Amino acid sequence: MSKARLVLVDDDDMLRAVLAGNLTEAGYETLQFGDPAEALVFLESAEGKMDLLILDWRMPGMTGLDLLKRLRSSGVETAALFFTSHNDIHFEEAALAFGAVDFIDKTRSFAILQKRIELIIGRAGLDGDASPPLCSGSLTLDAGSHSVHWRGRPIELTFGEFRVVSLLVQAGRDVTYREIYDALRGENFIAGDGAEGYRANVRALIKRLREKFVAADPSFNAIANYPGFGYRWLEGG
Amino acid sequence: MRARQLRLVSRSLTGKFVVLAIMFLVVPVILYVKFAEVDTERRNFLLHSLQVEGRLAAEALEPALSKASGKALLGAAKAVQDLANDQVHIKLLLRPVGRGDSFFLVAASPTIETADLDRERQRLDETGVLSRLDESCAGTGPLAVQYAGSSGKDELLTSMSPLHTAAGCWVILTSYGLEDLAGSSLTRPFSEAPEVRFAMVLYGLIALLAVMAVVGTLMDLRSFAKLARRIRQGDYSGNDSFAQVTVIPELIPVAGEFDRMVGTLDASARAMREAAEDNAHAFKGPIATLTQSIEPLRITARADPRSHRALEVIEHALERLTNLVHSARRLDETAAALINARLQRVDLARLAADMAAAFHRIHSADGIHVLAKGAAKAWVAATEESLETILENILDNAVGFSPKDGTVTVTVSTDSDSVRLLVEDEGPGVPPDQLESIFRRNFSHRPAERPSEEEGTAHFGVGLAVVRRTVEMLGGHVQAENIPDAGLRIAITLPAA
Repeated sequence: MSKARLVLVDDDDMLRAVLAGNLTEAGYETLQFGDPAEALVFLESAEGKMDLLILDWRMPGMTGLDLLKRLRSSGVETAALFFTSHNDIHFEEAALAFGAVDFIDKTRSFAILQKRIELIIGRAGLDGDASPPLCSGSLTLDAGSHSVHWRGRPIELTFGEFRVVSLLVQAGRDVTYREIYDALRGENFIAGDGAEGYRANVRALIKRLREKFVAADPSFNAIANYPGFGYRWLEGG
Repeated sequence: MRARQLRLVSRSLTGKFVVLAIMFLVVPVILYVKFAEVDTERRNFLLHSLQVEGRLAAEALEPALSKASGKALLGAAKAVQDLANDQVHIKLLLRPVGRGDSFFLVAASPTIETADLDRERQRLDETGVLSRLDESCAGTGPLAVQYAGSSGKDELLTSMSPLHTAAGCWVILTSYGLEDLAGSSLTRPFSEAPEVRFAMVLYGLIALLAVMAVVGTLMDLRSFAKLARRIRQGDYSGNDSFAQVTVIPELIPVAGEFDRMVGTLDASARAMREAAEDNAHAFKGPIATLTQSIEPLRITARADPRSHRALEVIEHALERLTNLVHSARRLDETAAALINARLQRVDLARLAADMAAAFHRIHSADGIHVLAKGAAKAWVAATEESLETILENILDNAVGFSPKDGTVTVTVSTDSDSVRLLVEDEGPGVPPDQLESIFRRNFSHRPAERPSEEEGTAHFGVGLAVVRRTVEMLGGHVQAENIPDAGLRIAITLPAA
């Protein structure tokens, strides 16, 4: 099997250099660009298939999102993930809405990034070979295509969020903060967030999840909160 | 306290309005009673003077009537004409001796047509005045009898003066036309006088204006309060403004100031969010580079124990740094979110009981008990999330300080306008001079004998800072005190909803 080809676009020279080194060391063929405009020119005319774009958000001249939009409009459909210091939900929503498959905080360790890359690249190879989608009331979860639909409308979720929704729906009972946190460990979350609380982390994630569902359906209230304990997915069968 | 209440009442617009309304109601009553008294006096006086006038007229006619000849009658008729004037009408009637009790109208001024004489006499008869005179032609009293005069105009009989002569019983009646000033002022209630009517209308207008001014101001203040409450509870759109709800033009500048204040508040919430995002973004860049740079070192340091150990220290420090950046961001974000959060009525008593139960379930294995007691219901204006954050951080803190087999007690109590939450532990407490500091960001006072935590996680002292900030954003306050020989008590007061 040939090496997966990754394109790293980040204007931070130091970070780009070490990260590209790590990716190469991990066995990926890595192309790196400090200037998004150069990356655009290269990708639009590139020969051979790229497997994944790793994009920074804030860059001079063009944001990562602008780059992604322009690539999509010129027919480049390579999967993209954002590896960025921004974690405001608006950035994430915009990124996912324009076809990014994941949104990872830049302070996450290389191990986490690597795992996510493998999931994305590996999943691409698994297309058509997925387990049947899980349906629960108005919700459809397709682990194969990693797609989520609520009342027929698509909901853009990150890997971590997808995992939490699956956990809640499949549990069919109250799920503790701890369980949700454990499901996320090694994902988009900080391990051992200290006394300030893993609950705050979990709550922030649930808040984002609710916002995403409510954006698609204002009457959404399927995630019930049990204060001090955890959450429960309400709409069964 | 009492003086303050009195001062408040004396300054209250509603209070003044009530006083004003009472005055507007009482003043007309007082005026009416007073005017009515004066009017009665005036009427009596006028009537009296009219009667005197009538008597004088009778006395003036007496010499002429005493003669009782045909010529005398003519003389009497002329005397009647002389005595009468524009206002005073005089009628002379005679009941001749031996002709029963019927009267003849002998003369009148203004003159009555001969054809109408009998009808006029009948009408006078109908008033019943004449029947007051007895056989001896005596007996009279003050009169104020209205009747329809010959000219079709109403008249007021004001005096009746009998005079007994050889010819019979003479009666001199004086009357005033109702349309004349004297007549009208005698019969018409003073309240119907045009000038009084005018004054009443003016008074009504003044009252209406005063009521409109006060009611308008009160209504504006109410809409101000309603909008302010909606803004505080986050239940408003960008289109709502104080200037729009204001009806009174003079209040529009005030409303404008309020709008600018809200605008500034919104802008500062936005600025806080942006600053939180920007700060985090700025710190995360170097952290990311460090995190990625560790990766190759991990492989090379594997062989050398010292390098390996150094790498672990770096990783640990980096993790702490990352956590600091994340929690600082979250703190700022929480504060900004609460500035225009949509507040609801939340039952703090129920939430506290639920959370105490959840904490008890988690920590009873370590021998730490968490109990809730107090009020069954305690409604506060908040978001469930903000209250959960508050409770969670205090409970974390209390449990963290609790000795084995210690008990953390959560008590909720209510009074008329506030809800109080006490969380008491049996830990070592805090040195008195540091009681204020525990709510400072990044202040940590964790006793050495219970070093933090199973998973090697660190305590950054953000928890209680979050509590204070959240409580203050909800309009409440928090304080800490040592319970003598027992532990620490955190007391939170929130406005009741």
